[in-house]
Amino acid sequence: MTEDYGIKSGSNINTNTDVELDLTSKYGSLKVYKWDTVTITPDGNGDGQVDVTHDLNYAPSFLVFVKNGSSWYQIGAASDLFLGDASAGVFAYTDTSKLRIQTIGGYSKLAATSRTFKYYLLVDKAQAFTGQSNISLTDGYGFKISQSGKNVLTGEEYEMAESSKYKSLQYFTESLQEETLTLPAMWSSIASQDLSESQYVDFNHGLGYSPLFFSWFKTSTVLKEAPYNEYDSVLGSDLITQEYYTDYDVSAICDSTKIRVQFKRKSKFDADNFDSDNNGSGYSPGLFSTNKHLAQTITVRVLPFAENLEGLNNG
Amino acid sequence: MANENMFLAGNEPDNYWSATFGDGYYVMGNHPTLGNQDGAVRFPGVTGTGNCAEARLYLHCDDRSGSTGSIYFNVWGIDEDNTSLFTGSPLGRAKTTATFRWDEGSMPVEGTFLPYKNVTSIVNEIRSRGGWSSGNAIGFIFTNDGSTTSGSWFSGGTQDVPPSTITNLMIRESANPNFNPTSKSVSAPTFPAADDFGIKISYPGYSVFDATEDQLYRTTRKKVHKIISEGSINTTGGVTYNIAHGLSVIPFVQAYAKSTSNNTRFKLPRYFPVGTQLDPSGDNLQGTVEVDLTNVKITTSLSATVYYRIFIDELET
Repeated sequence: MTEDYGIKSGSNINTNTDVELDLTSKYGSLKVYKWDTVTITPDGNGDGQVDVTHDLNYAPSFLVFVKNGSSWYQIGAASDLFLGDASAGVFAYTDTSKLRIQTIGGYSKLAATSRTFKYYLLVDKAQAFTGQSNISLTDGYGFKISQSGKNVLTGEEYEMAESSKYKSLQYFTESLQEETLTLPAMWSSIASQDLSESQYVDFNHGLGYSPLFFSWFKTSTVLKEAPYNEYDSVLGSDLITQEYYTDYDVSAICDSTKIRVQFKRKSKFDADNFDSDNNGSGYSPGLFSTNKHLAQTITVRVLPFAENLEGLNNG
Repeated sequence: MANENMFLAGNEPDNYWSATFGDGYYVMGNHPTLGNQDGAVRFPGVTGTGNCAEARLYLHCDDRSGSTGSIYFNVWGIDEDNTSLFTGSPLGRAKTTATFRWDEGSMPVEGTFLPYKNVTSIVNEIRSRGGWSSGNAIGFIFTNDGSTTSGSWFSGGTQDVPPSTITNLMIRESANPNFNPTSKSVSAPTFPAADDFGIKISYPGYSVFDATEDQLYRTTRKKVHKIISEGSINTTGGVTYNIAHGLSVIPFVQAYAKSTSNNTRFKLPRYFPVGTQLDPSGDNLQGTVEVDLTNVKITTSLSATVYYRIFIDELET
């Protein structure tokens, strides 16, 4: 229901729906508390970590991007595409006092390559919390809009729907883009034992810098967020022996001109190992059709924000 | 038709033949009491026409009791458009030009396949016959050729069950299905011109009049994602938790899961590296966030507490 009070911003605030409005005090938005660039120099195994402290007194929401060359990747999955090793990974978590960013080197150990990360710690919670935060409540100037039922003068920062004290994550409506990919079926076999293929869509974002971004893909009616990684094996033991498996890796990276969403599909069948481990009796008639990448039509979407990953910091 | 197909000799007795035992079995080698043994096998229902990329023959060894030494035999295809059942000895039937000597340096292990042999040239010769049709049968003949010692033999046939242990012919129709489809590029959008009205809040120390877009804390020229609901749920490992969003569009969402081993929070989606590795903190919780027109779908690999946030803003162009 539309109220006749509060703040609205949009192309026509009299007719815009809530979805169409750029801003409305009816709903809150994400507020960035701290954002900065940090570096991890891993050990010889490719393992390392860095801590960013905060005084929110609850585990806050966050976003973390890692830089590789001139490209940025939002962490969340192992990526053969981005890190060059499907067993390697970059991780992050928050608790009541810090954000910790970590790397694990995987089988390749990723070398001891120093890596740059850009983090965004949000005022917005990542846990149910109703207590008192440790941060001061006001600068004494600016504007605040509290959540419904909360006192704008005494409410905690996380109870504010909007606050000029914090940076807002904003985007141009025109930046949301979509494209479709079609991929044929593929699978490995005794004849072709180690197959992989990849395809990508480049979305030119027109911002002139590397933006904070999100990307999604859809193969049915369900939208999934990238990065994405799906490993599927024929036999349980394949997790260790890797005799026969498929790997589906969706990575999204950005640089100053584009967001690239890349799909890599791998199908491996090591016949010698398979023979050895299964006494040569594992070639059931359905073996080569049960573990394969099906043909897919994929809808890919990206949303770059106006935020510059290499822009100003406030750590 | 799939690119790669497996054709089983099956358990029809007339698909197997041996000189001494007749239907139901092939026996090959030098039998201790029966001497040289020749055999044949037939694969019905072989699909495909023209040359295939590769064909492999997998012979199964069900029995080799008391065998020692090495086995050698010659292999031909039966040069017929549609090899008929082995109701009598097939040894006199026309043989393909393509042939090879099967040199098995050691005795096969009972219950396993002999290392496969490439029979592409034999299969292609038969499938190139004028009378060949997809779905016809292909047969092979095996004749002993100097298996070393008395007692170097093996057999297989209808007693081979389940199907995964049945002698088979594997045919791959086309070239390696490894490919790289053409990638795509989407042009940059056109952004609205700068406005001289509305609200701007710049970074401390930057003039609100000439700050660039990324130097602004907030501007009414751009949009924000607007939160309509948030809360905490408890998932059951491996079970998708549906949260009805009531929007009839696919909205932007965020979710953070609580570690199963401590009080930390991870952003979802979260996937682990290949294998059985844990994250550096020893937590192996993984999870996905998916959205359709009705629900936000959160799935975690283990039971977990997840804090979610749903926005009114749809992810449609």
